[in-house]
Amino acid sequence: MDRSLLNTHAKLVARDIHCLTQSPTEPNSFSLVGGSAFVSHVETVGTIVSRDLTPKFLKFDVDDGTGCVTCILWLNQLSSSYFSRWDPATILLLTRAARKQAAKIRIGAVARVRGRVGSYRGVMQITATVVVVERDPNAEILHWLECLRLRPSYRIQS
Amino acid sequence: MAEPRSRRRGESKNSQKMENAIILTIKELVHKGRAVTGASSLFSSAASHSSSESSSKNPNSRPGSFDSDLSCKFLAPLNHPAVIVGTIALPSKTLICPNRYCFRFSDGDMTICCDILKFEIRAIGSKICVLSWNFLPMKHCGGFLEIIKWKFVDTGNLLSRCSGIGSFPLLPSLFPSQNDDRKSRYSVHGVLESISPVSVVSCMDGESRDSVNLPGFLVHVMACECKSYSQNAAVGCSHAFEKSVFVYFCGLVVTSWHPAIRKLVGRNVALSGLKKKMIYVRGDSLLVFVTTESSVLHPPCISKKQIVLKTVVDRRGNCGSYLGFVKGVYLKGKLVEMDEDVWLLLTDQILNRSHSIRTDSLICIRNVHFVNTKSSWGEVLILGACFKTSITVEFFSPFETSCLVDSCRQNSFSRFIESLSFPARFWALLVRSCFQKFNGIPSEKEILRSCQKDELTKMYAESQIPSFMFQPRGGIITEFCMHESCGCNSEAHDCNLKLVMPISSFVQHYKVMLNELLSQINKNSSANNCLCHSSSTWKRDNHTNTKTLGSDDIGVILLGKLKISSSGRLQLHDRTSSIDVLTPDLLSDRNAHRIFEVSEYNLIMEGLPESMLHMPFLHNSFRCRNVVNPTPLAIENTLTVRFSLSLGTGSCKHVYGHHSLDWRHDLNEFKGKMFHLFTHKFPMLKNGHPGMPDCTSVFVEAIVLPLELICSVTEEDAAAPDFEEHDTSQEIRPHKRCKTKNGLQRERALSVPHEISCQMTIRCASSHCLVSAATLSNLKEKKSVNMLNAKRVLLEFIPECSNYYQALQIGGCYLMKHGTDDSFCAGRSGISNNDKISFRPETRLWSVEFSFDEELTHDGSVDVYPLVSSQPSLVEKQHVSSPQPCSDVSLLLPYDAKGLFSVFLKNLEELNKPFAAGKNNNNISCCTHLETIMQAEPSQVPPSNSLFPEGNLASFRGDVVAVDAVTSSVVDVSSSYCINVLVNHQIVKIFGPLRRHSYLTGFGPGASATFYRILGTGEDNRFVLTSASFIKINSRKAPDGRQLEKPAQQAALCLPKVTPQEYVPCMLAGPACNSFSGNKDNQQIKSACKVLSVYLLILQTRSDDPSENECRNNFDIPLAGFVVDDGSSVYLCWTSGERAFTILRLHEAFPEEDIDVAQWTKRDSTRETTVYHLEQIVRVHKRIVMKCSGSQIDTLFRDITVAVTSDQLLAKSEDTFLKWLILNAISGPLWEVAASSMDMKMIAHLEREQCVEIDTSRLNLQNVWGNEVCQVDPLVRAWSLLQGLLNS
Repeated sequence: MDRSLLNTHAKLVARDIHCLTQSPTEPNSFSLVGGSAFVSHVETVGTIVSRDLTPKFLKFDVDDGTGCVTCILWLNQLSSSYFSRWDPATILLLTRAARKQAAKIRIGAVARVRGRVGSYRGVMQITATVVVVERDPNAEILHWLECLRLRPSYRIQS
Repeated sequence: MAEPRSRRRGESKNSQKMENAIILTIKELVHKGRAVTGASSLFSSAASHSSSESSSKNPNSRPGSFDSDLSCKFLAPLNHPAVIVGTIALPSKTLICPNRYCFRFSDGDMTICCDILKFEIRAIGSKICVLSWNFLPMKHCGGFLEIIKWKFVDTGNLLSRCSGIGSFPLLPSLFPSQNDDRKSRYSVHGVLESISPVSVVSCMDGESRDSVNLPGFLVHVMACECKSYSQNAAVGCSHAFEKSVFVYFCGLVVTSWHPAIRKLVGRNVALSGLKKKMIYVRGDSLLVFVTTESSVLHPPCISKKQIVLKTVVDRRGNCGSYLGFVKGVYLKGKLVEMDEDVWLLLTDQILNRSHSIRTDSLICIRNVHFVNTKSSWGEVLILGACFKTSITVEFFSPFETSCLVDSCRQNSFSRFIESLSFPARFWALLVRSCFQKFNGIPSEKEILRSCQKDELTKMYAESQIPSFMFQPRGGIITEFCMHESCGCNSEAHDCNLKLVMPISSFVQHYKVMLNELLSQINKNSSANNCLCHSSSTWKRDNHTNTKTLGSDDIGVILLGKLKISSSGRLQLHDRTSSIDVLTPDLLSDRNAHRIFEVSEYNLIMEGLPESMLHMPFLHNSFRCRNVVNPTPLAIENTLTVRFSLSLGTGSCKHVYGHHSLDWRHDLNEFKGKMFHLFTHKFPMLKNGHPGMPDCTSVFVEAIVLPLELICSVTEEDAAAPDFEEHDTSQEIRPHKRCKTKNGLQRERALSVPHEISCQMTIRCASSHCLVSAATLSNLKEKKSVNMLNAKRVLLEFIPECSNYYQALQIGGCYLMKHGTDDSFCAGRSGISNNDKISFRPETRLWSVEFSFDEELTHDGSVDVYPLVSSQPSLVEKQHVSSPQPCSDVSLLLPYDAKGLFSVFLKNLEELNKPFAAGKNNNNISCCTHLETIMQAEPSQVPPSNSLFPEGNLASFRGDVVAVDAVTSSVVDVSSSYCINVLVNHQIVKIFGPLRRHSYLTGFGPGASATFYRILGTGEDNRFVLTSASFIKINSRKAPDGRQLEKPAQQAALCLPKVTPQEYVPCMLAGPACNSFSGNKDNQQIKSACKVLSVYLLILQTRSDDPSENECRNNFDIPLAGFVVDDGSSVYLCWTSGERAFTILRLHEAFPEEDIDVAQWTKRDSTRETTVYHLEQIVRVHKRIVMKCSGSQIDTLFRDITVAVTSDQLLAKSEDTFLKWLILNAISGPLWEVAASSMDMKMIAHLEREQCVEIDTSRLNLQNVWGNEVCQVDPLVRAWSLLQGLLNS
């Protein structure tokens, strides 16, 4: 199996994300439809259609016209044990960055979401690391075209 | 050269030393067709000639200073000694050479032209051995032999060299000498002063009584008055050569001596067997000696002249001798560049130009006119050749430069040139070379179809050269014999003609000048220990520092064609280059082939460094060399100055001067024709986009007026214009009052009868005006004109008509010729609002403006009343006593009709607002100050949560006060500039992502501009430029407030978007980059990628000098490594300098909510960018090296190290800030990176150079060097991807 894409944020449309299948051997790796390549990080661009803010995370759905992907943006850096050994200033920095991104995630906005792909209760979702709100409406079309362009390199079979 | 088929010269009995030399034949040389030199033979022979000659074998050792063109190639030397044996002969008709009077060289098999150094008369007809030579192939006669060194093959029967004795009959002695002929008993002995070219005299043949053309030439000898020439009289005798004598060499055979006699100029000669003849020149009798059948030439003794290898000037009065190297031969030998600003003019067609006058040959010009010309553009010494001038080549050029071949054809242009004084000739030849830069001469006008560039030059020059610079020519004999009293001796030395230059040379001149100035400033500033702005600093910040120079100070005329570039800029271009142009009165008929002359202009230099603004400009003279040879010099491009021309009204004229044809053409266009009127309301957004193929239509919104214009011009009417006047401002307009047929009395009336008489002024291409009567009518409907019937339509411009689209001005009014099937006519009555009308390529448009004649209230002056809301107000215009038409057509309407148009104007005004007019709608009046039309008060919209900026669009006019780099973000985070505009005594701020390359030509402080579709932000007087915004520059003022030219109302330019091709990312190439630039084979790959992490970042101050640390951005990023991801792979992109600044988004506003920076930040409008804060840290620590090994965000800060050079510890806040930099970089946009791959050697080089350990193995990523970085334009990239996908 091709593991060269594991560190890359694969540009995928929602439909392809939902077709990812968990690798039986590699944890946190997913194989593409009919493909032989594994991915663990994805990038998608679409309109934010739902937004659910909890104290620990922001859950939002991104609709790119082919489907809707749920994304999670963690906001619990200050309380998470994962960061407990980190320098407090750095944790604060990450918290601020996450909250700033969360504030920008509004329904109707077009966002570029990058993050780790995972399966939660049988449904694919993205744990967002960076969410960039796109100001240019053409960004979405560009993403579609990039996805089309990259399909051969992901060995996605139509 | 390959071993030639040759004979060994062993059979030669004369020279032992030449035994190894190969004898080449002419045939072999011609057959090879290569330029070769046999100068190596010099080494092998025991030269008896002066040793100074040997210098010509090695051009590098020559003491003469020359900076020959580097492109010149040395003649290919033979790798063995080679000689040529043959005979020198006088010219004859058997060898057809365009130069007519060349020596011939024949080796029995073949004959070619030749020139010879150290010429002796006795060499003619003798067999010589050419020891050292150059051979140059020529089309006409096979080749040309330059004989550098030679010797007689058979010296046995020759007299000793310096005997000075020898007689050469000018005619071969077929008959026994007729010494008893009493008439031919005269002799002349003296110094040969000058020789005339060969001319043909028509005379009667004594026997057949037919008219025959007899060639001949004159020589001027300063002779001794002794009765007869004694053969014993050697040089140095007590002869006194004081008597001026003319000898006429007459007849076909005798004339062939011309090249031989020419070689004797300046030497002693004696001629015997002459007869006397009295000729009449200008009514004066003159005694001339004429050669006869028994004439004999007694050549002088050869004296060893001292050869001087530098420029020698020997002047007597206006005439003199000049010895110098040829630096360039231009225009078929008419123009020869000698030294710096010394030019030889060989314009008289009859002059004999030797083939050997080649670039880098040393020539001696005798009896040449010295003309010093001074003008505003510089000073030039012109060497004007006349009929007395003779040129001999002293040393042949060692370079492979082309031979001079006379065209021999005398055309009207050459006759025209000959009729001018030397400065004018020189000027006209420079013009001719400029016209060479145009490869298509206009084909539209009949006269120009047959015109060649010569003719065009002639027409243009005739219109420019004042009459006193023409001089009558008297013919060869008159000018030769009566030289002192002839016209060419009384030169008018003042040359007030402006230099005509190719555009590239013109721009290059100022680039060189600015570079000199910059180096001077740098020198001064380093001496004074002043603050020094590095080039990259002002590259970013000082876009608006402009300086203007007037054409009067420059003294240069530019010729070119006008075109609109792909970025929407109007440009003047010739084959060499192009320059942006701002013009107020461009004719709509922009025929791409028409050549315009731009003589009155202001050169605007934008983007100068601050320090340069206060420096006086250097007044470097223009170099004429750059005119004839506009090869741009390679200049280190440290300045990014934009040059543009701001033209005054009427300063863009057509070059060719046949006005009658011009106006006749225009007349035919208008005579009895009917036109539709429409006004261009607002540009719809262009469908096309930079980067997209130009195959889509573009649309504009327009209003079709319910009027047609009928031109009733007749030929009689049109004959009236005075074509002597060049300036439209001088045009006398008959202020005839035109009455409406059914007089309309009150302005407020909304409708007028269906016909309004008016006066129509048509501005012709040649800057002249035709005035005629016309009628505005509503013929179709035959009913009263009601402006409210104006229809709002959409005009479609198919790609073929895109030129028209570019030319349309917002708010401009246009005429379109009526045709039976034009789109306006087809179903005219059926045109309704929002119809789409297509334009066709054959459709022609004229811009039109309206003026109203008011007899009573305006003191006879005329109100120009263009139908444009953004035009200057009437108040401005009232000061203009005679308004100049800026449109193609100007209609003078009765004042009564003003009401009609004011209603219309109001109507248009309302339509022009792209948003629904608010409550102030009724306050707009067409007669009020239009400057106050900033009625689009930014409405106070409540803060919105919307993604996109919200607000109302506005249009207003104002004076640009300043353009600053943005210091705060307004709506659009990517705003990089703030334009401060003074509108109605209030400063309005317009923010926008106006980048370096989207700058409008001429835009900046001092520009009066109209801003269309500017978005109100909700804050007071704060607006934002959007992609739909347009900026029109109305006029420009000098920084001191002086208006540079008449308002340039129509110089509208839309805001062009940046194309990826234009975008030059900050090319602050660091030393590391330079080391890789040599890697030519490394192919550059472009990809769109995002930043995942910052692997390595080195920040350091630029200078250790504390005073310099006060400067902004006084730190550099010598190396930065970014982990980037393009969707298919992750790699490590290394870059430096400005590119790293870009990727780190350092120039963007600093978001204070991200990080608590209060402890080291004071609120200050100038300190709100990230780069400012970072600089504070770098200033303290001198050098910071940050390494971060994580490539994903969750591992990002796990293993981060920051090292500083200073003794101080990195503060916590500083550490946090540096970490924030990484976070900021990874949440940036997509970047388009042009990168080339790097190998480990390069990485090692970087490590050494930056003294840093780069452990790239940990990431196991491919390393690339980012050469260019810019933000991805989603639309452009999407379009190119789509094209790629469709084609795949």
